[in-house]
Amino acid sequence: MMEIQKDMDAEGTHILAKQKTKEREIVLDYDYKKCAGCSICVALCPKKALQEGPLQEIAKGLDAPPVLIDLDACAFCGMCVNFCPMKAFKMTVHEKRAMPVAVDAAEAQT
Amino acid sequence: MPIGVYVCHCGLNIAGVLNMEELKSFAEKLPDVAVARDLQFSCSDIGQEQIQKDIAELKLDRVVVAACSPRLHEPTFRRAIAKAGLNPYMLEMANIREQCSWVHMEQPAMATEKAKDLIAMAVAKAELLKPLEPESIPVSKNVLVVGGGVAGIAAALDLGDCGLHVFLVERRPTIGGYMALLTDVFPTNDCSICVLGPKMSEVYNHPDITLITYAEVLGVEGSVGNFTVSGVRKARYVDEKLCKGCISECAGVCPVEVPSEYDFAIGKRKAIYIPYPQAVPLVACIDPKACIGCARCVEACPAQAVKLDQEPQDFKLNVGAIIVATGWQPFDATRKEEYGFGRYRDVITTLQMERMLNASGPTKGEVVRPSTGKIAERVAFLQCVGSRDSTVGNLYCSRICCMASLKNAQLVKEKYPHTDITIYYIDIRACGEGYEEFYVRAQKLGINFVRSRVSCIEEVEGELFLIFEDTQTGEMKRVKHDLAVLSVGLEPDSKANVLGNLLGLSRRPDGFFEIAHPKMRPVEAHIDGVFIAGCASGPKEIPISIAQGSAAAAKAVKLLHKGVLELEPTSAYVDPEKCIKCKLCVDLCPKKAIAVKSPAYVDEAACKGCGSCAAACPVDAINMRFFSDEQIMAQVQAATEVKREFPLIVAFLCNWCSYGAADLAGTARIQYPTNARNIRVMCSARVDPSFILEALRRGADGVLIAGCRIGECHYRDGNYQALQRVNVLKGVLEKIGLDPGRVKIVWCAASEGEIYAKDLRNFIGELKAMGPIGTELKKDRAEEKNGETALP
Repeated sequence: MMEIQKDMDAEGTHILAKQKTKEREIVLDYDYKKCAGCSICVALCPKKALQEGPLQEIAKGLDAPPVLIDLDACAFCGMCVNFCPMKAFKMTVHEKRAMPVAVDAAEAQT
Repeated sequence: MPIGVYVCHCGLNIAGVLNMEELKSFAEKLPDVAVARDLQFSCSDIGQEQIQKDIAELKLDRVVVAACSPRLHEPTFRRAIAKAGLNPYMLEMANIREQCSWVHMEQPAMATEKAKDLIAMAVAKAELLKPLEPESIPVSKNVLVVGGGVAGIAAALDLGDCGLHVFLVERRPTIGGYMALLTDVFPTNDCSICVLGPKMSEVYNHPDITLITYAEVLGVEGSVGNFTVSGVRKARYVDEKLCKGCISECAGVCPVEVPSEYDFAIGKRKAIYIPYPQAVPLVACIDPKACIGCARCVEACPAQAVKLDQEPQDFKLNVGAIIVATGWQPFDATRKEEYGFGRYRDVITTLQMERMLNASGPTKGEVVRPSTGKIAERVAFLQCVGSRDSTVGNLYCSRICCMASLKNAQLVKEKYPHTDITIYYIDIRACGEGYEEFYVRAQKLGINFVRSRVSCIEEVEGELFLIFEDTQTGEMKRVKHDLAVLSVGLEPDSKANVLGNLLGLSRRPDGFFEIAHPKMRPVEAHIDGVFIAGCASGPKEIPISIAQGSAAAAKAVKLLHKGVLELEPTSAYVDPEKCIKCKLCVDLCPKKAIAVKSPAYVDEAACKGCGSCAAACPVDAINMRFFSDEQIMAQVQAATEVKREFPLIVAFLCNWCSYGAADLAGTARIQYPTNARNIRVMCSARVDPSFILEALRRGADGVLIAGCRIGECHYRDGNYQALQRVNVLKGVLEKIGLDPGRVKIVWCAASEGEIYAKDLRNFIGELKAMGPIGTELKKDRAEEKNGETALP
């Protein structure tokens, strides 16, 4: 079975989740300074890999990310990236061969 | 147009009652009759040779044989005149044996008079006969089988082995149907997939079978012999040719897990999956509803078979016949709310039990309580969930559930001998080879049987309690169980509606597809060239589904193997000048043979000649090639030319049942009065109200219409149409001032000679009471006059 390596780093206000497979390296960059804590990503994450942080404390001034990433659960599908209204998530993919993108699931059903 | 009339003695069968000399000299005097002879046995070689000789010498161009029923010897005489060079359809028979000499043995003089009318009617019709050529159309030797369950597989393999090319279209990503999901099967308890698996791969490898899985039929055009079928093959997002079926590579990295529909939601599968290890074709498939598009599988697949940009593909097939083997779906147990399925985790269905018992299933063959994962110790089977139950609208017995529960109970008991197992049943239905023995075996194994329909299931602190009345002791009981298995019934697959509507298949009240005849045509649909096999036409066990698949295959081979189809030239045709495009005929047609392009157009390959459209057409734009309006009218006129007795009845009998019943009355020598002059039509719906009015106008005292029993029409619902027309006509008669009782419609099956005779006797009695036709008009006038004079 294909090996999947994951690790997580923090650089300033950026939280970097990384997934490394044989042909691809995906970096999910979450800049929590941009995050408004709206929790849209929490609701839509298909793997339930995103959870709300201590939102009330953050509102009172605590310096912490409003969203927590569960690295084990994250599948690096990129839905949070596409839906974040604040563009707090960014995803970069380095790959050896070009991967076709997924078709829209809703469209495929019809 | 010289006509030859041959009056048959049939030994003494006819000559013993009727005066043959008189009939012969009567026939001679009829218009256009060139020769009339009496023959000892017209069907014998000598008789046939005489007819052939006359055709040659006297240049006869049409022949009337007054003998037995046309249902018996019409083909014989058609062959005989065809040999002499005449068109076989230039023959008309007068039935003076079954419907005359045999039923009027006590009244030879009146019977002879009736025979004269019958002969005159036949001659009148013969004058209007037209040569007809059976048309041959080339047919496709391909067959479409819809549904890859066990019935569809059986049909496809038999057809392929006969050398016809088969397109097997399956909605799911794999063939095998429900049988592939079962564990062992009754009554032998042998492994289901072990016997089905090889058949599935045989289908896959067969050179004459094109397997189209994960596809649907979306359009059907054309008719028997030449259907054009269009459909779409859904995107699997996996290249069928590249995928090696290893599944562990792609599914191993897939982050999405969903309940598996192939385990009935007690097991899980990934978004990229193979339904089960024995699936055919063994190709992965991505569930677009579950996939999150992470593309890990794309990267993981060593064969690079995952194609996330794959698109659905349309296909178009040309086939000569279609076999519908769309199968069934389990009753949705949540509709029986009292059993708590979907709320209580330990209430499961038979199919979930099958998957649990299956060694390759989600629990690897262990029977566990879903709530705890522990082995179940007290198991209850509840029979008739969704069957024999008017509260959910299913009155029928699903046939297989008793045996399935007996089998599952035995399997559980054999695996865990200490398990307490109870089957709650209404009746155990174990009819089939070795089935009753199987029931006895279950009893011997120590399985408990309680005669009861469980009223509800309660869950109290994680334990299930069944509440029921034991109908053998009359006690109300509340019994604790670990696991309750609902023996869900079979319902028609709701996804088959699309195909059913495309083909115009009718459904029985139970929702399953209706077959052409409930006894004699078990795998044929009402539509020519369409066959139904397996559970699509009702719940069935595996061997019967297989037998039906093979039977449907044999029917398709019979239809197509010659490559041409000979059509009976008895179809309807439209006069395009007259057609007003009202579309009345389109809905009436039981064969869906009429299309209103503009004007209406009859597909003669699909038409079976019932004639309902011709009777219904408000402008008489539709006529029949055989049993034409003119021919029937001529018969009516000949029957009423001379009124030889009172009451005189013109009777229209449908070819399939009531004409058969009248023949049977003859064979059984049931005696009845001579008043009826019978006219054979293909269906009671053929009787145009104008025929009835013409008969009454010309002095017939009554008109009888006899059809197949309601619900048994050979053209689906022709007798209902006839009934409706007669009812309307009765209203018209009343307005004219005639007694509506002069028109009577009756139903008799071909086995009901006695009923036909009784109906006729009653009708004669009623007409005698009414008096000759027109009596009521005179009476009315007299009353009017009296009324006027009464006024000062």
